[in-house]
Amino acid sequence: MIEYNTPERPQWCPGCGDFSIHVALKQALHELKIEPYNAVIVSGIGCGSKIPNYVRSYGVEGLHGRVIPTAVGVKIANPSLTVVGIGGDGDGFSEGGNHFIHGARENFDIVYLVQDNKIYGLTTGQASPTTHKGIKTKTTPDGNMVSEFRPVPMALAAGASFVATAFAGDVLHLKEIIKQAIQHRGFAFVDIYQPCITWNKYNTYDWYKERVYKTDHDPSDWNKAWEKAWEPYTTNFEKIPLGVIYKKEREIADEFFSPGRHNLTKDLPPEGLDVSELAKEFL
Amino acid sequence: MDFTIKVGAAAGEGAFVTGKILGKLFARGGYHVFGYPEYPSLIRGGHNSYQVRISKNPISSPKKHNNIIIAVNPDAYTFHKDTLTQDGIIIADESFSHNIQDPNVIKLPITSILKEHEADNRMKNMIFLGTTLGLVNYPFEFLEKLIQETFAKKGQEIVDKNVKVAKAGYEIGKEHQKWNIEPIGSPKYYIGGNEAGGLGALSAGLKFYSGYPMTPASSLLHFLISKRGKFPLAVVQSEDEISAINQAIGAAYAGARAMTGSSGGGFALMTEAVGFAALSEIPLVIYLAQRTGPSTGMPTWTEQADLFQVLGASQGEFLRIILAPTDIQENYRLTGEALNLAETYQVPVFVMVDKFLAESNTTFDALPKIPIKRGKIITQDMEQLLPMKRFKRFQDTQDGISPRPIPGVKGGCHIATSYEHREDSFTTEDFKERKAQVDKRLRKRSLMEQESFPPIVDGTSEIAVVTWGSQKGPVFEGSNGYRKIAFNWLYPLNKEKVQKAFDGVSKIVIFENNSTGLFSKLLYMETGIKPDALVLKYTGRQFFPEQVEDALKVLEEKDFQGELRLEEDFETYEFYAPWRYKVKL
Repeated sequence: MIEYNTPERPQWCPGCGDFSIHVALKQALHELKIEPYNAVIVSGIGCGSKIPNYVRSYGVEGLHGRVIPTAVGVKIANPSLTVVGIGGDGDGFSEGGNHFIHGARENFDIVYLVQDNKIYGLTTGQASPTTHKGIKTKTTPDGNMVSEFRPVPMALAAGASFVATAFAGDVLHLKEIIKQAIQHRGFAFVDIYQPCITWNKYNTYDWYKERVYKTDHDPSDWNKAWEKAWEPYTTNFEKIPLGVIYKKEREIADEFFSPGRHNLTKDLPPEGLDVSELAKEFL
Repeated sequence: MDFTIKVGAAAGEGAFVTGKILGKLFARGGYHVFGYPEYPSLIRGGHNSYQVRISKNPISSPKKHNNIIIAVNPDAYTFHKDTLTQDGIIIADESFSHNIQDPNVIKLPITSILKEHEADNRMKNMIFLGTTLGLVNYPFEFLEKLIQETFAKKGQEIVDKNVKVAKAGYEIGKEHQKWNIEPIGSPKYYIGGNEAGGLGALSAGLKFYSGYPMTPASSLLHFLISKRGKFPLAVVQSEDEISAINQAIGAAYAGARAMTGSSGGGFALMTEAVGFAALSEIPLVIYLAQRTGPSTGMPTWTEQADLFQVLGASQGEFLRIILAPTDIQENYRLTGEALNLAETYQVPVFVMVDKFLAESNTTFDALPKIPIKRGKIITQDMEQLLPMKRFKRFQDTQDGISPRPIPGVKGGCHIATSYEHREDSFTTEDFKERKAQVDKRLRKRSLMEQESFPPIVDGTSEIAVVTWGSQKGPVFEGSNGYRKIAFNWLYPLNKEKVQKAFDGVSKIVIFENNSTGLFSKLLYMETGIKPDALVLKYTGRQFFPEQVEDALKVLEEKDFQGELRLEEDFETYEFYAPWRYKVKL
């Protein structure tokens, strides 16, 4: 995976889950034999969103919360590109919640990885939408009182055609899940459970290791998927399934918004295009 | 010849369809036509009107007075009757007008005509159209042909019925014939403002448009969606405006010519992303159709009050180009040109129109192709980069513009980041690199100024009448004898080019469709040129040529000094709540 390496070393806290996500992503792209110039990594703003700086491909480190629309724009403009959106839980579920719901609903043909560490890292430790009840953070000094956002059931309810979970502490499994997400045609969402060793003292590596297990249910079975999606919440986080929760291809919005899915970046005649045929209705 | 016809009806009664058909019929006969709709922010229950103005010369303004008024309902009679010219005629439905004692009214027996031909009520506007054409002796064949084209899909029976009722109306019109409007030349296109912008963009290679519905930008979204599937083109109705602009940025980064559009409220949501496009030097066109603000304001009325919103949109300092087409024909050309400017300079480019320009219609003889200039884009593979190297996407060049490979191009790997960055696109907080990148980006201004369009100037008088954007039509028409100056390139301004337009001027009067003289302030900021007098209108309507004439007469007595704030002085009825006027006929 040397072709994806950059001279700069990622500047994350030692032990941060972002390191293994970084490695898994590069390795997945490498194993799928995707040339770096055909890959676009689109991120938002946050610790993990710095990742396009450390992947030598094309990339966009855009605005906080806007990973999905930006990635959608890239993919529709040139469908031959591999477009991987990636951002944190605050980025995707709070600031970008609307895009998450509609990206899944419309089933755009992109990958969306969420580095879900249940905390705001780069802004120094405030509660995020996935922060558990009772947890103390800078913005919840007496403990979080509100319910957590449930990304996997939400993605399913909204209509994502590929929903998976992975754990930053199991990089090989994570890499395999990312590969499957890239190969999926449609909105492929992966909720990556990732400890934040600096700001989240509760959801640690050990905390996860005691709770995660690999699920082997039939991911095309909606009812089973729905049950698995809720398992962390129905078991009070005693059991957290990892793997592909749901997978069933269906029509993608790209085809609807860009009929024929042409490469839109090419073939512009210098003399301009003749629009008289398009204007016939006005004659 | 300068002839105006106004159709008035309750919302949902087809005033626009009827008016647009009239416009199209005269455009097909070779006339210059300007069509102007007025309506409230309601689907049913308010009042709608559409004025068709016909001339042998190019026109880009409505007029106050009407030669013919088509009163489909009682409100239309009450609201518009005072605008009738001395020899004008009002065509009204007999069912409500039978008591009116007005020699100018032709009472159309709509109900009995429909009954006679077993036609349904939806066809009543055909009778009005027929009568109108009869009154001006315009060949009936034009209407017959259009009916055939329009209703062919619905079957011959429907076509025949429409033709018959239209013909019955035509015969009544002929009995009262008063004018002679004959076809004078080959057919012209009759195109709406937003549609013209869309066509211009498509000619210049627009491949990606994303938007969220908002009056008065929506018709551009509708028009472009109607062209989807005919050739490579993506049009996305986004979940919100924030999504729309970020989608367009993504598409533009990938190398598609991309545009997003909205009105002020939607654009407010897009604001953050404007700065991202600027910092990462992604070419982006934003089509902004202004309406009466602030906030939801008066959604279906017009204003030029978003100039500083656009000028100051997004945090930090960066260059942007602001265009304001001065008429619908220019909107075709400039919306296309905006795509060229965006790719040439790799900056956000704004096309500022308003409800008045966006939703009015006008005629075109032809739609010339708009040549495509893509600037320093790289679409061909280059040599493979060495390991661990990125392409110098933000290379510190002499003109400030850097080569731009697009994803998929070998040898071009780099990122577009919203952080300050080095030449090779990696994030930086190095003071020296920071300053170099700011300087690089600002350096583009010199080339931009060279390319900027000089103000449009007509006449040599010492007294200059100045305006910008859509107001050129009415302001120029009402200021004969003065030196007329209109700006279609608002920012960045080139001092020399602007000063040249004002050479030898002793007094400057600026007309703006807002309440604080925004462009006057910008002009002063950029060039030091200051108006002696300011004429402001912010009722929700644009200027009318007659108002401009009157305002200039008032100012002449004051030696062209001071400020005028115009009242609306005709058809002051509120379209939103016609019931307020308790019409009893």
